[in-house]
Amino acid sequence: MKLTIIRHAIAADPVEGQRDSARPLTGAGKRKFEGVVKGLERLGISFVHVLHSPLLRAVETADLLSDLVEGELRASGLMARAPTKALLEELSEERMALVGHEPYVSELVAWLATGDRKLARAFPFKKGGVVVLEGEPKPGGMHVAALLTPRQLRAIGRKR
Amino acid sequence: MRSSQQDERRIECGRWREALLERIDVARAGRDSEGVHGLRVACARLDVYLRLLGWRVLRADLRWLRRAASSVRDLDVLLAQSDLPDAFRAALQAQREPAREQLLAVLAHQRCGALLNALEELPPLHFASAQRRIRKLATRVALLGLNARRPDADVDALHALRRALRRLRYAHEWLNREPKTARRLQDELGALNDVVVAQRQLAALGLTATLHEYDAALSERLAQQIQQVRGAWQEASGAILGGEA
Repeated sequence: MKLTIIRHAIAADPVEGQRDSARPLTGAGKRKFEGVVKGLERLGISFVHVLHSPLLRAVETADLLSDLVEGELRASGLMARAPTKALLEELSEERMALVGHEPYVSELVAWLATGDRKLARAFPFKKGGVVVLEGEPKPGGMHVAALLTPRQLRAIGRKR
Repeated sequence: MRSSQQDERRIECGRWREALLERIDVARAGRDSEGVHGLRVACARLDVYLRLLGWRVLRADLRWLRRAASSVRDLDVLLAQSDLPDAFRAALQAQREPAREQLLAVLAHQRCGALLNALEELPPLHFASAQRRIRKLATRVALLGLNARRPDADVDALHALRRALRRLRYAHEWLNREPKTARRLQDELGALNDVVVAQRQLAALGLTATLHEYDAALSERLAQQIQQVRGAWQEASGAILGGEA
């Protein structure tokens, strides 16, 4: 399968008394991620389904992806915590995207690509960054097909 | 209220999120079948809130939850009818517990928890942008209504009208407006849906041939109900096409 893992776009800093889960994307974060989506579109990347964390910044990021989604966008608590086997069991479709948070998205890439979650630091994500994996969704069963920063994707999206 | 003040107004979804939580508790306890109905209504209202926000995200989750509630609710509505043939009633009753088990499994699923957490953080609606989106919903109702008037319009076209009309009503209610919806049209569309659900259940249970007289009576009721809907649309279309629905 082809699995695209995405870190949420740039979110507002926490304000006093606000829950972390309530932090929205900033205006610039939304605009920049719209550029990322254009880049993905230019590369011909689309998804059958998207699983996203329920935290507002991930929900908003997933919504910005919706033009690339043929099927459903689904909320999943498994995307707001360290990756588990339960998450891998959800990865059934041929082309899926996951939208989540650091350090979990790096841990997930390390786990799927090497079998060792502790190698997460070798796969850093910028906010709005994208990693494409291919192979079988099991520990060590996938390889990194692309690691794209948001800036690279925005540049691809701007190209005529 | 002056229109510029109104345009700056923000609308929160908290009350219907709270309502959803309460109705989930009632549905879980299984004491009151209205809890399942309320759960379904809360999902539909929150779906409209997301439409007014212009969001696609979370709507599939609400649909998934609503579908599980509908399986139970549709059986409850049918079982409340007094004129059901015994064989049909027995078959429906046999389905009730599995449908409820399925609903409980959905309510216990992590996806349901994630949906409720996400709903807790939804941003407020801006009155002006919500109003623009309501116009789109009204246009859809008008188009579907015109379509439903055609002599070859089928039941699916009427269902689409029922759903669109319901969305428009909920959308007005989110903006605290009293919708001048065609009450009769909605009631007739609801009654039509009840007949269709009965007929589909009968077919799904493989009882159409065994209970052919009952099936024929349902077909007759369906034809009558389609006429009732068309009449109600005639009555209501002026207000709807004039944007008052």
